[in-house]
Amino acid sequence: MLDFALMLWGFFLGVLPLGGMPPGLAMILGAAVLPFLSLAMRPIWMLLMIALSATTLLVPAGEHVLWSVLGFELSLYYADALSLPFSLVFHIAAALAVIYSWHVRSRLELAAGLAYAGAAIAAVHAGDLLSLFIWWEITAITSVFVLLAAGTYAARQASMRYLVVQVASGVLLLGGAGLFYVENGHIVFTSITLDSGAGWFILLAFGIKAAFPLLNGWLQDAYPKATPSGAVILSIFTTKLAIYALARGFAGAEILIWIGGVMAVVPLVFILLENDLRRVLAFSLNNQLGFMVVAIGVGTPLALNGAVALAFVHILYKALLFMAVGNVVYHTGTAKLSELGGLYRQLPMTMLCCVIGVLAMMATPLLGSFVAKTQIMTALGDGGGSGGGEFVVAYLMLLLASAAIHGSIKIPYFTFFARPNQRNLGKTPVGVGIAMGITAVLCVILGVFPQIFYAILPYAKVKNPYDLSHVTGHLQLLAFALLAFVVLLRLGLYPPHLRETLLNSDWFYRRLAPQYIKPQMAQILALGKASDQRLDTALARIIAGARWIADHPVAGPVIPGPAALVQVLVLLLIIAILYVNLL
Amino acid sequence: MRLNADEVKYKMEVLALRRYGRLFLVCLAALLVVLLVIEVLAVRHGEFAFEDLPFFPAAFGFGGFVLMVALGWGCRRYLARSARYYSDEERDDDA
Repeated sequence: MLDFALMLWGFFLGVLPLGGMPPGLAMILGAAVLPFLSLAMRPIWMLLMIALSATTLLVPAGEHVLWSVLGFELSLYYADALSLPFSLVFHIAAALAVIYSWHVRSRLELAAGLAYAGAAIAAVHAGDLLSLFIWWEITAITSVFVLLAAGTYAARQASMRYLVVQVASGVLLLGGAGLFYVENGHIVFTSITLDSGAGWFILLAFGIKAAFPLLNGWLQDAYPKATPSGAVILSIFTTKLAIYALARGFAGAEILIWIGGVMAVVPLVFILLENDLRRVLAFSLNNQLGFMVVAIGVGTPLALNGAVALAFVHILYKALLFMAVGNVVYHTGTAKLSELGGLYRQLPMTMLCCVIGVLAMMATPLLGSFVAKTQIMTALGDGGGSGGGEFVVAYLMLLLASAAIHGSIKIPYFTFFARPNQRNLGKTPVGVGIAMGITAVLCVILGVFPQIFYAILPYAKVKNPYDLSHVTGHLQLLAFALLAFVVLLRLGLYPPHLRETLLNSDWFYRRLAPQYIKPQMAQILALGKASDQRLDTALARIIAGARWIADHPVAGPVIPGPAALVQVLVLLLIIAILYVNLL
Repeated sequence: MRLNADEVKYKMEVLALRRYGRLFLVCLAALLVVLLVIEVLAVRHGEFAFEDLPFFPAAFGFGGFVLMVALGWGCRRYLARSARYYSDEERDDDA
């Protein structure tokens, strides 16, 4: 079987010109074959498809695959300096997710995951809004199946809500693309302004997937209900695809500075209070997206470099955290902090990887996120220097978020330490350990050798993060925030982890709508039904009247009813003709 | 009072955790002292003028975290509901 797969791969490489196939397409096609392969063959096949897709990246910038359909010239493979880092990290993360899920048997999860990753990669290379819409919707549909693979009632319910929200995003994108075409006469996916309806439609579509404030409920609702490996793959693509789309379409849109600032700060409260580890990760994902959105709003080359760099490394460290927490769930069967603790002895490598992931989230020096966030903060400083008050406010918000994200130190503390534990845990699957190890090493490499970052960023302008002033200032912020965590914990002032539900923006459609809007809708439907009945009654009477006329002679026994009706109609026709002619 | 094997193991686990906790605190204290010494001896520049105030990052880090925790306590009153608030959830998985 392996020989066959290698032969097929060689065939693909030999026959297809590198630029002749959109990146990601091989993964989508490969996903269709996957359910028919043996258990041992599936991960190897997935890695081959990812490698095949990655080879298509070895082409120069420009448009490579055009497709004429319905009078539109669709650009299915557009490559430039912005798409490259996203495409590259999507391939790397997809491969890591495959290694992590090496032990997974579910055909549905594996096939859907591979197709989902492929669609996200293809979306990054869409050169027009219609192609983007197609891949946008395919990511939505395939990711629903990743979620459904959990097989639980909660996952099924969440997946339907998730699907509705994701499809709504797609519909808004399609509507926006249509308006964009009407206004501009083309659908090329380029810089979009907010002075028209099209811009707002498209921004809202991107905003849903990027989990903007009040549009974020789907993220914390869905991701924690996936399988451990499903959560890893879900955490990688959807939101970062939206960040890419925002960077391409709305770089420099000032409103994003405010939106991003709120995104960075508001989830911190939930991170502190939340008891479910995977929901903590989902909220912290939201918080980190805020940094990227602010940077896109600033829109300078340095800020965009920061947004891209942070998206790149964020995919890695967030996947690492979902991997570590997933392994904890795999062994203990729970993600509730109130039920965990003391696992450091049983899961030492998981603990180490979790600590590295959390330190990366805090942008600790020598980790990739420190390099990325330095670009963003410096860009904000440069903007503030030119007199923009919003830059100062956003800077303070991000600084606050940098300090308070220390709340996420609770993930390793309450999971691996805090209280003694005497559980006997089984062995960690080999693939899980390898994937976590590689991901952790990548997080460190990108921090220690930032030149790797600089080589793949879209712009040449970068800020060196490793000067004494910056490093010590940032370390002060981190260390004293950590001190605050310790002091509050010792004084018993840190919020305890309780078995509770924290209301999030999904409350609007999970509680408010069923409770208040559903009865109103029922009344409207009842009214409609009543008017339908009246209309039916009136129509029945008219028909009955016509039948009565048809069945009864109207002028004695010689002129039957139907004849009278025909005569009336002919007379009306003659009058109408005469009327028209006389006029 | 004699302890059984499990209780002995538990006690040892508690002691080990305390030992690691102390080690962590010592390391943190050392880091804080080093950072404060550098703050006094070296010149530090931030992106904005207010960041150049002495010990600004330290104060902001500590104060910002305490502020968020205080906000967390306040928000819990309005945000927290019972674990089974959404009846469609947690029917078959509590993880």
